Amino acid sequence: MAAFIAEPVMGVGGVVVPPDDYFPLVRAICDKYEVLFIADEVITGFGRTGEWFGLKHWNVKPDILSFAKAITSGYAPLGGIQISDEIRATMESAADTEAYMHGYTYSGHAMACAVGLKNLEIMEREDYPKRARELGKRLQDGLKTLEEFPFVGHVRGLGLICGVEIVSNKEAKISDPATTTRIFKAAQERGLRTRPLGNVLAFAPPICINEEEVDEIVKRLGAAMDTL
Amino acid sequence: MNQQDTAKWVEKDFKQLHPTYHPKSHANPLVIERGEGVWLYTTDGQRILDGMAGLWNVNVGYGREEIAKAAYDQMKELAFTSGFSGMTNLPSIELADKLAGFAYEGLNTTMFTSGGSESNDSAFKTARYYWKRKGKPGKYKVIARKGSYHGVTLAGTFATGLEKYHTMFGPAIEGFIHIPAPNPYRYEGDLKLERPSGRRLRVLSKRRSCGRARTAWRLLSPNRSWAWVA
Repeated sequence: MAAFIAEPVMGVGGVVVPPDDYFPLVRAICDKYEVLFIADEVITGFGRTGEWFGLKHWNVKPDILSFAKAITSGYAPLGGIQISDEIRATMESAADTEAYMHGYTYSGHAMACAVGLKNLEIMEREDYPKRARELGKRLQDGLKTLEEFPFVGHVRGLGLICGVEIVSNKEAKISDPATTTRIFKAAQERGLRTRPLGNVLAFAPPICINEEEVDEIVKRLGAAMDTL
Repeated sequence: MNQQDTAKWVEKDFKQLHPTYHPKSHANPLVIERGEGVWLYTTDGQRILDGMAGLWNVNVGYGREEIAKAAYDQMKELAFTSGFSGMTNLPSIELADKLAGFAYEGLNTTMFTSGGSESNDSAFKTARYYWKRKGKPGKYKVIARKGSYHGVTLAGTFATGLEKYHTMFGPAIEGFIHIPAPNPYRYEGDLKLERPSGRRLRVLSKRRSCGRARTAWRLLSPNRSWAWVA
């Protein structure tokens, strides 16, 4: 086994936040059996979850970090991996025939990196992890008020990434993708963009969002649910 | 602009194939013209609160002039040059330096890509590279999780644990194993009560595979998911 890969908070799979002891245990197993831990923080990286990076919530360190997206806030296409000093050392001591023959035309693109630097400067200046924590709590608290609807099974999240799971029966927790799609469309008609992921509606607004706009998400989603 | 203009844009847009395309999901696309803060503006006059920050990425919101200026200034100076071994450029030096140890202590080296799919592909290849350098070329498999999304390169597609991304693109790449991922909402019972007492790691079976003895381990996590390490 070469590696284990996981998103700290599962994104497209339905915004799933793991139990607190999950990643520390996985890390321990990876160490014991010499398996590299790859953290796919393409979504969770750069403040989204209320920490700069997701695994920080559980005090776990990966061997390889995969990032992209918010490194430039989408202003330029840029991503990357970060590797441990131990992995780097194997490249420094490699024979001529063992070069790391990998990389892309746009690896280290000058304009994209300049955009990344400026974007990081803004996110640090405006203290984004703290913002994501505070506004994320407000969003989650607001979305939880929608649990009074008979089809809202579960509201969850970490920082400013939230999921609202739609079910046809709260006790049996039966997934209801059809109703999810109807809510998604009704929300879009009311000027709110969410993303239906199976039977989960995802919310990950810009972290620059203000309190009024957070409340507007809840209000518009509630109005959309009222039409069902 | 108005409805008529929007219809024309949509008609022209047919010459473009969009990611995750199906005619049903693209039957009535939003044509976005402008963005400001958390708001998107369509060609037919709608103002939409972007609850998804684009694709989970537009953290600082739309319309940041200082980023536009940084791009403009750098493009004038030097937009691009080869970054292959033997050449480098100033912004990439500065960004890699800024990122050294920024995410996690001990991760001090960055290799840049153009996006997340390339990043995960690079992670898998780098893991293979590492084990070859350590004299263990047999270690090449990757454990991923059911429900995960790791991009759409050929390797990323089959690292991804969502079947709909596999359906039209098989056969699967060999060496990706999917284990269940914990979902507290779907867990039935009390997390605390279900926690196994004593050792959490248990040897469940010893089996032979490809002529080599292999011990399969399973981890019981509190939500009854099992993690495999072989």
